[in-house]
Amino acid sequence: MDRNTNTSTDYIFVVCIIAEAALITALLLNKVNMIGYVLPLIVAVAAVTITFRAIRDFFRINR
Amino acid sequence: MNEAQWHALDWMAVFLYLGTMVFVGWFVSRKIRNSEDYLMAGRSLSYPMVVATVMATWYGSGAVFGTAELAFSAGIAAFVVWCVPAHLGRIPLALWVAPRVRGVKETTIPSLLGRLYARPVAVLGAILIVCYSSRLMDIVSVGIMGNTVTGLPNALVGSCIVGVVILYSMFGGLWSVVMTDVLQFFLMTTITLLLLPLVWTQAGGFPGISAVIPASHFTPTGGLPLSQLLVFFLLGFQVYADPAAYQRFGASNTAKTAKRAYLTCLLIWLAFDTTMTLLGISARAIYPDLQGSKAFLTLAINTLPPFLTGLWVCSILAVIMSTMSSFFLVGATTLTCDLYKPLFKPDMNSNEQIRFTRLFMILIGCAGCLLAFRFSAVLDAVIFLGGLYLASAFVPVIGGLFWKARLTVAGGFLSMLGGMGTTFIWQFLHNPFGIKPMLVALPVSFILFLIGNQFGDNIVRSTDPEVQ
Repeated sequence: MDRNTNTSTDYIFVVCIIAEAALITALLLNKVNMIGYVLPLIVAVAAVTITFRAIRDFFRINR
Repeated sequence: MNEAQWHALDWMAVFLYLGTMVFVGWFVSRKIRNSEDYLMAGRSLSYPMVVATVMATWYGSGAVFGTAELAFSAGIAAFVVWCVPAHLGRIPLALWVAPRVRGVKETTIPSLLGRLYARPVAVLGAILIVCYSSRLMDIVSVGIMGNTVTGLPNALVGSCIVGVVILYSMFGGLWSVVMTDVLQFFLMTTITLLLLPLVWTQAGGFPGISAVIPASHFTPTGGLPLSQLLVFFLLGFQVYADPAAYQRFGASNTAKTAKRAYLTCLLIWLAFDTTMTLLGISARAIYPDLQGSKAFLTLAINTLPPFLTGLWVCSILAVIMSTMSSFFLVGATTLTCDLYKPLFKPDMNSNEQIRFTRLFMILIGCAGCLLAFRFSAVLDAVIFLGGLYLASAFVPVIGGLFWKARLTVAGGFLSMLGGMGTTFIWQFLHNPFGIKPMLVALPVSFILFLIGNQFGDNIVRSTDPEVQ
């Protein structure tokens, strides 16, 4: 049965989202150059991880 | 930018990408056992799958080109006043709406509206969703992009891409759409984003860009008027009535998966939007005389070597195709389950549902191509009707799920008609005071929802996930 309750982990996610938005805004307004190199790399690493886990899950579900 | 810069290796990359999508669609379809597998992926999507498919689906041509173009004309305001408020405004969607939608038994928004209110509300919602799902602007965008990079006619490129999308989507339904979304998510987040370091170096980073573009491009609002900022903020709430998002929440394996996956998407979207913003301002610095999206495309094609250029175009195709496939499936599902089945064939079995969904997917794709490239006079009307859906469905859907006080059929029906009517009237009056229809339609819809709920019998609801 699915329960509609939020746990502390959910609120940690929310804090991370707000912190990320504030950090990126500060970096852009202060013209921090490294953002153009570091950010795409972080997203690419996260995307590769999610992609491989999704493919693995598909084969597990449909074994 | 012209076809002379489009290399044979780039063609190879594009054909390889399209062939892979069709193969994945076919391979996945072998796992389909019944209509719940086909329409809802057996309600078994795991966390990484939901992240990838929600991420790929929500980002269409508008989000990618829109962010880059706004950054081109207004600078970092594209991120600060458009992306940040929109994403923060979606946090309640993840925390409360996603688990609630996962908890209800309905698989589409019209069926939910039908149970919450009455059949006429469901039929009205279904018609608007079909218009919303035709993705005419995406078809037009893909045609323009194909013509810009290869020189081939818009209609030919657009029709071929729609053909491939229909082919892989109809094989395995939501399973095919999700698994192709996973690969498209990979392509769009790696190839699109990895262009940035190259372009950033070419533009000289912030020091080089600051020297050639206006100082207002580095202010939080970019000199945009307050009314424009308010519209950006409200546009972010469109996703609260987005049928493709609801389909994915419903197809998640648990309510927690739906919620956490959407929260993760918000984290990735913020970073993705930042890179689009930086690409937009880099394009402004390098090609100040070109129009926004053309500068963006030129930037990529002149920066990357052959084959990688093709792969980059594929990553933009991935952004558009993943959105198209999801909405074609939503439109076809709505036509089958919410219009044809209840109105003409109530005893439709599982195999017939799959057959009709496939047939309607072909029809939606063909109609989309015809409207987008042959009958351009109808194009604006269909796009307008799609926009109308958001203004009219937001209050009845969210109100139906969360309104704790008295709820009646009149409330749902009036708020939907009020949202539609106000949008029509406001559009007919050519947006008085420069205010967009949605800014007026949503409050009117909500007021009518409150008034309507005072009339008629109170609806007994069982939407609570704990009850289901």
